[in-house]
Amino acid sequence: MSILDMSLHRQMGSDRDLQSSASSVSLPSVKKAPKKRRISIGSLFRRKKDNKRKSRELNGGVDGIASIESIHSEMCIDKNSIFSTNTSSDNGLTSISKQVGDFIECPLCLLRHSKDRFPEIMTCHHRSCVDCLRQYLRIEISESRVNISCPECTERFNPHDIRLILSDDVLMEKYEEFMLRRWLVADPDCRWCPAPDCGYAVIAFGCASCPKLTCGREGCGTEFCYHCKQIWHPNQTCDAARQERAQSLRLRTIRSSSISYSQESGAAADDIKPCPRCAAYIIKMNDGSCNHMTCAVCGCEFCWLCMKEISDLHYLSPSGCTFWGKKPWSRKKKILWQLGTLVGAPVGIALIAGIAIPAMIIGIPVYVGRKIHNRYEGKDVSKHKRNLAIAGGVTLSVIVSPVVAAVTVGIGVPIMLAYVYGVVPISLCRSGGCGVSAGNGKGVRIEFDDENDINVGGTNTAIDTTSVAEARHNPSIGEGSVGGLTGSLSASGSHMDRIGAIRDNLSETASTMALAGASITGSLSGSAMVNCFNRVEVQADVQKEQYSLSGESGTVSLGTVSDSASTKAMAGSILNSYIPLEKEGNSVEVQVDIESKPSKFRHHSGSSSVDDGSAARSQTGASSSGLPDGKSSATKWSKEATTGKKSKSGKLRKKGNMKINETREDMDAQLLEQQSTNSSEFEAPSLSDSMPSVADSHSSHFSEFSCCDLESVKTSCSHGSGDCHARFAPVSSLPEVEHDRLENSPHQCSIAVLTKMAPCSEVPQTNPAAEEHTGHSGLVSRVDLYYADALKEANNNHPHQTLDLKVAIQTEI
Amino acid sequence: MSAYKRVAKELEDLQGSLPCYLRNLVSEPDNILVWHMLLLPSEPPYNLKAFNVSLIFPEDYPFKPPKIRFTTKIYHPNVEESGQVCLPITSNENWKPCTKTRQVLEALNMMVNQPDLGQPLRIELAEMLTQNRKQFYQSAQKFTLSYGVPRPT
Repeated sequence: MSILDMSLHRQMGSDRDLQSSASSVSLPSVKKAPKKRRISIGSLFRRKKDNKRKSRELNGGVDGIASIESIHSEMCIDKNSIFSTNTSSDNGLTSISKQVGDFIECPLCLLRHSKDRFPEIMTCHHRSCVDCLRQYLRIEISESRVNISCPECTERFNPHDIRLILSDDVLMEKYEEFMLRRWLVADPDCRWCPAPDCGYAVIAFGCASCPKLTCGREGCGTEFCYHCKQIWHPNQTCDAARQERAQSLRLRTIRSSSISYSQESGAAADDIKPCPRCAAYIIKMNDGSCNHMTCAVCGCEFCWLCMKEISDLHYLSPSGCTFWGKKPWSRKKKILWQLGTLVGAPVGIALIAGIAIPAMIIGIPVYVGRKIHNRYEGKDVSKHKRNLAIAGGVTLSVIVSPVVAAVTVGIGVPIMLAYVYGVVPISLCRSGGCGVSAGNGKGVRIEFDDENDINVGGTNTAIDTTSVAEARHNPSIGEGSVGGLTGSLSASGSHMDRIGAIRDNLSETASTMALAGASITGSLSGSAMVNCFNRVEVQADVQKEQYSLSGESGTVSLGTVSDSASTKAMAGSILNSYIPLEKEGNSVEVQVDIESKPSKFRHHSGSSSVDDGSAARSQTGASSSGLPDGKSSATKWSKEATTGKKSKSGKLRKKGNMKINETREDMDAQLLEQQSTNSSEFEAPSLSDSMPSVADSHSSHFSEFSCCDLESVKTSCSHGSGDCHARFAPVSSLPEVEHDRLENSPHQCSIAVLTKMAPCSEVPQTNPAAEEHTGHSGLVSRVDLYYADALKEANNNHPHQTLDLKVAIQTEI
Repeated sequence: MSAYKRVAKELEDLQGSLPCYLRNLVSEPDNILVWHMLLLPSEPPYNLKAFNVSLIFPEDYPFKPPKIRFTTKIYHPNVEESGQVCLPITSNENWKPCTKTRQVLEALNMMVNQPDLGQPLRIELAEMLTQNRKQFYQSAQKFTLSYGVPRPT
């Protein structure tokens, strides 16, 4: 009855009532509903009439309800459809705002703007208002940050988007300038003209064998050396030229620009230092920040104290540099520390083992006996039973405890040994801080890594393999810690704490009293695990990055070559005698791999000079015992290390191709420089005979090329216009040039790109030579370069470079 | 300019629904870019007292992260003796302009309650915490009781 009344009331009610009831559901699309309602009520009416004879109320009521419910459901469907359209846009806004007039809240300024103020971004679906985006980009570019990512996620911006949003040509030019500079710094063959006011750079392919470069800027034409990047020094090695320059500087008593600059600005001389990789001057403010620096230009990470490129474990090992320290250790202190570690380690280990084993063998039965005794204290048991129980327990533990002790020692001692004699020397000596090699207790040599190195070459490789093998086979130990470590590697946190964490892990997994007591060795072994794992993990990471760079086709070849390279490295061939020398410098590893694949790389002539140089050396070495070469190279490298050359433990976790190429560039440079500085630096008497001959031949080899080949190249250039174009193409057409290079014979020297590097304030002009050939496409193609695809192409064309890199990085710690 | 607007808006929003671990959230009367608040951690030994914290927003906020500072002394591995704190989400490298201050404060509270031993600012405290928890708690409790600010009811 009541329902009927309701329906009747509804019928009698005006449309307004209906409308009001509709609006109570708060839906805009009310327009449909009333019509339906009218229909349904009409039908209700009709039904009612039909069913008048039957129990009207019920039927009508039922129909009424049904119709009302159907209206309701229709309205609900309408509601849902509206909301679904609202939620399909993922601005995180409410449906109401969308309807009110398409106003969206910007996540940066927290203000509402109309939808057209939110530019479309290609790389992600996040939207911010154009003013905020513009300001964000402005700030990022002015701080010379070129890996600009979305303010809400980590997706990098497409340069086209940046250009559209910025709508500021000057700033865009700056951005492109920084990008270009970053890319060039990453290019291993890029050399800046050393003339005082010249900002031009030269990308020199395969110029190591014929190192005379000429600046392409009109009016400059400075000739300079590919290896040392200084003014061209004919008939002199780079080192000799450097010494001469230093002498003349001293004679002139003119202070170097850096000192005068620092004095003018009031900063102390040791507050301004050049980046070890790109030589950009960096000031460190004394505001309590730590010594882990990241160069803003090239992104290389280094330690402020020792000015060497570091990995995060630099502060873990006893290299003398701490996070907040002000002074690095003197060489003496470093060597003492390292010697102490190496010598003291077996003593310490023996002591611990000697104490732990009897302690465990005696202690466990005693402990068990006591425990049983205590347990039976309170109980009211006969003495016999108690004694039986105690005797039983003690017997069992007497049997068990030696087993436990043996297992503990059997696990712990090899781990500690492997760390001390495998990983510590690698990490320490690779960081270039010492001249000590792992004598494996047979004798530690300082600065002369001669016979010892070679003699223990075999054993060292064995240790290396065991350490790496152990690392590989014991993934459970320290895996969690490594994960955490590598996670926090990006942050410049303290590393001492990782030692603590690692120590905990070790004590848990090994569960030995022996290890627990040895804090030093514990920490050492902790970082040993870390080092091992870091090595492995590093490899994996780099591989990943390589794959991402080089695309699908590249991966297969990279993988296979790398596998064979690494296995070759681990095998006991003569080339592997170089491996212990890797502790001196990463460049050794580079050499190994190049040598092992000379045939393959012959046609990838990118680092052709290196191939030839090293191949030549290895050949002469093989004839007269390959080891002297190794020795000399090791010595050289230790020299170089001591003279403060950088070590290339690049931060591999960073995204981007730049990083990898940068490390390779340095390794290349170092390797080649070392080759050229053979004769002057060598000291070991026994090898003096062999080395200078090789060195001389090599440097003369260089000078020969410098005279002849360049001429030949020039002449060929003048004749073959096609060639010339390819060679003088701008940066953007790098892939094309690469192709040329691949086809050429190894010894050809092709000076490919001449680019101007203007200072920031100036607007850069494209190279006139380049413009002839590419016109305005230069800029556009340059922009394309930045994009991952173009880079992939470029990298595809020199997979060997990336291979060397990868392998070399393999050994970085 | 947009820094002021955003900071003001965030302050209003936070004051409207203050998290349970915060009290007395105010900005300086003449500078809205500096906030003061009272932090009430829930974990021992810090749950015995409260700590004054100040938040300083830079002029180009939100494109630069705010700086956090403890004005009350606290015995914590991630807080320097000077009161400076290093929170990962407000570090220069990790800062995202879309991060809200509410998230920052949440992260701060979490860090105080659960020290981050991965990057301590006070190495000796971190080592003590890992090696000898009891001693750490005792020292921390003593320190908190002597330097902490009394908790409001």
